[in-house]
Amino acid sequence: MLKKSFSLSKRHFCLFLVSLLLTVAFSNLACQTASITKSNTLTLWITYNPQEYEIFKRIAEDFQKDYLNKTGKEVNLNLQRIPYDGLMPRLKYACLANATPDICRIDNAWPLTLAYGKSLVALDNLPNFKSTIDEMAKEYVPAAIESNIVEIKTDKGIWERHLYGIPDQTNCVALFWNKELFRQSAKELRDRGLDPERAPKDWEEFIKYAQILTIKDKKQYGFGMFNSLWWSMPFFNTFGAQFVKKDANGKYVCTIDEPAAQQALQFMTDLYKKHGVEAGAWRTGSINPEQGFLNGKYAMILSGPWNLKRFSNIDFGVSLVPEGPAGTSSNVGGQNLVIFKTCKDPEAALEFLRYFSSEEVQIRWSESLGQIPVNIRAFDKIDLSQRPQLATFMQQLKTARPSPKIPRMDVVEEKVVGPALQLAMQGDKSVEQALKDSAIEINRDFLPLLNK
Amino acid sequence: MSIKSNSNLRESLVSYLFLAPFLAIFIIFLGYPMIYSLYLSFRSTTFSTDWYNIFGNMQYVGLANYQSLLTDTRFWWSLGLTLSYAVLTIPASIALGLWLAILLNNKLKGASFFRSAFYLPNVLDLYVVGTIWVLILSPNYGLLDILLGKIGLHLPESGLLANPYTALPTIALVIVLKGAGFGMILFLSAIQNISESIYEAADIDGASWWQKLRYITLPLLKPVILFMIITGTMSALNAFTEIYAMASSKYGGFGGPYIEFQGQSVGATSLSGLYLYQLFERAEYGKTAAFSYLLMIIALIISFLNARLLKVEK
Repeated sequence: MLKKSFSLSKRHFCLFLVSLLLTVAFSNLACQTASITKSNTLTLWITYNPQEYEIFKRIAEDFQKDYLNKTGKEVNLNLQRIPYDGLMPRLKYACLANATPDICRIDNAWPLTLAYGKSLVALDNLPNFKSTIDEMAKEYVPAAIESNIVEIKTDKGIWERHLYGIPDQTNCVALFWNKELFRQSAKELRDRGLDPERAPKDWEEFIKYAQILTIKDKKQYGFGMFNSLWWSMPFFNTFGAQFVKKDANGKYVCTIDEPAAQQALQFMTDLYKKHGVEAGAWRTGSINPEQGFLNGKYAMILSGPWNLKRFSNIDFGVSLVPEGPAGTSSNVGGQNLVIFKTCKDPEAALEFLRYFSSEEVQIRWSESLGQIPVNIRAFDKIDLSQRPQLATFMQQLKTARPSPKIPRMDVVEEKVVGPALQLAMQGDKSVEQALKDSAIEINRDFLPLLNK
Repeated sequence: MSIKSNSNLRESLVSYLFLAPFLAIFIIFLGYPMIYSLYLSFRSTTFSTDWYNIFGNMQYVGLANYQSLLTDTRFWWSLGLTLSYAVLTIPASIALGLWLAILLNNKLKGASFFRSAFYLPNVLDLYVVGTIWVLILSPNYGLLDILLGKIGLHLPESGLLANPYTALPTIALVIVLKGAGFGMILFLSAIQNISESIYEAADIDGASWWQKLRYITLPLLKPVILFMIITGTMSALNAFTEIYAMASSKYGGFGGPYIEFQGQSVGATSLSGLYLYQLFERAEYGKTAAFSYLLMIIALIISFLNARLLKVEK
């Protein structure tokens, strides 16, 4: 019996060995095939929507032909669509597994974090860069290129300034207003001397409009807003607040507790608490501003060009962010294309980045998709007669100010400033105290990383 | 060596050979990561750690991760909150499951339909259930507010999930309702295994309904109750999806509405599982590993105490 069971085991063992050998042989073959494919292939992780992807695919094909004509070398772009949500953790895991793409489309807030994590190629170090950072920066919309220039400390302890990416898309928020809701309250608006055919121009006027457009019986509010730091930047910027400054000794100091910032946050809080014109759309479980605008419940929201198509069933207008003491301003969002350190042909990758952000391609991209071009020459050449709303965003972008470049900005936002803004808006902490506490924590835990 | 011991050795070898695939998987995917995460808990990343060599680049910090957690207000807050969450969910889940089981143990018309109906939410994905409840509970526009409006009542203006004092109890209620069917099935099968003769003897002794429940049913259901307490404790310690679905906003407010606690801003639903995830997402792997070990110690202590308190007598 025992002998029989052993002979059975032997047979199974032999089968196991054979299957193992076959698996190893096939996986080896697969690896070899993959390496053959990889030799002249650049893998791109992109987060475009289907419409953008179709156009990007054609641009990528054109680049391949163009590159072959110019250099006589073949390069294949392997486009891989990746969901935007969860991309950052995915990149971290990819780094851990040494499986990063050659090129990736990332949020404009990330180059700093990725550069500090030594995972990006400094474009200005590549032999085919053939320019200076500042010269190259002049080719792009300032707000768009800015996030790619990072000062970084080398292993020798020297601070160096490098360019880590090329802008792919740029945007900012502006004021969306529901023309239909404005018309419905036209009489009341006119009675208070307001024009129902246009959006408010400054914050003072904004409150007057919002008060009339808030009709609580109809569950309608004049305004709905998010309250994270990025979404609060238009308020801070229009009040002239600065997040970080350099002091007399050249050290970075957080100035989010200065009077201008306090006024901005007080204004945001008052919209909800004092004037009752904001729907509380920033609260957990509430109808978010975009959904509320879509449902005709919020008459005005701050939003970006990515929603122009989504709102196409509504009669709406887009205007500049209302002026505060420092005029009109906004935040800066968008995407950049970066090259990862594992890229086998970073020079070809740079050629693609430059090709995609060239004047000609950017005009084609922007006119096909109704997006803001990142190339400064294309910026001035876009035909905006059919796209008045895009023109507003392009005008807004001229006064928009990017988020501060602080290491671990994601943590600053999530752990420090975000909670402080919410506590102040809930009324659980005074505006002054909330901002003061944030400044103390940022100066203590984050800025020393820059000031060392 | 005798023939007998030789065959014993062979039998043992055969047994180990059969166990080998499992052991290999256990060692590679569970044993090694557990030991490696203990090693990681004594190391730390910095903001300039090389992401391609993150584990190799981590610096040895001794017990600093443990010390940092034990002096971190947010860590203690998350633990306290997890305890509150366990207290809110476990007894209620047991009580509701038991109540449903007792009801459905009677010869009711359509009992099997109700059994399936009560169990159904348990099959659904937690994230989906959470999202549905967010819509139901939405102030002004949610189904609950609309229904309450019919009788002249309304949810508070801030909503239940945006209020720091109601957010966690609301999520706990949703979880209790979702999980009630699971408890019901366990209790029902245990109740049906209790011999009828015990109840008949109690009837002869003149025991009331309550006395039969108190002195027969409940003591015989102790193993199920113990099981539910232990799994409930584990669920509370690992709770993440429900908070992520119901009390986190993509644009701020991760971990529920904020509240001031000992001078720090803390999420009113920032349970330990969520805090652990946040640390992991920030690539603070050393601290995350230390946190996991602290949670494991807590889970072991709680399970041990539970087992002692509810020791099932033979």
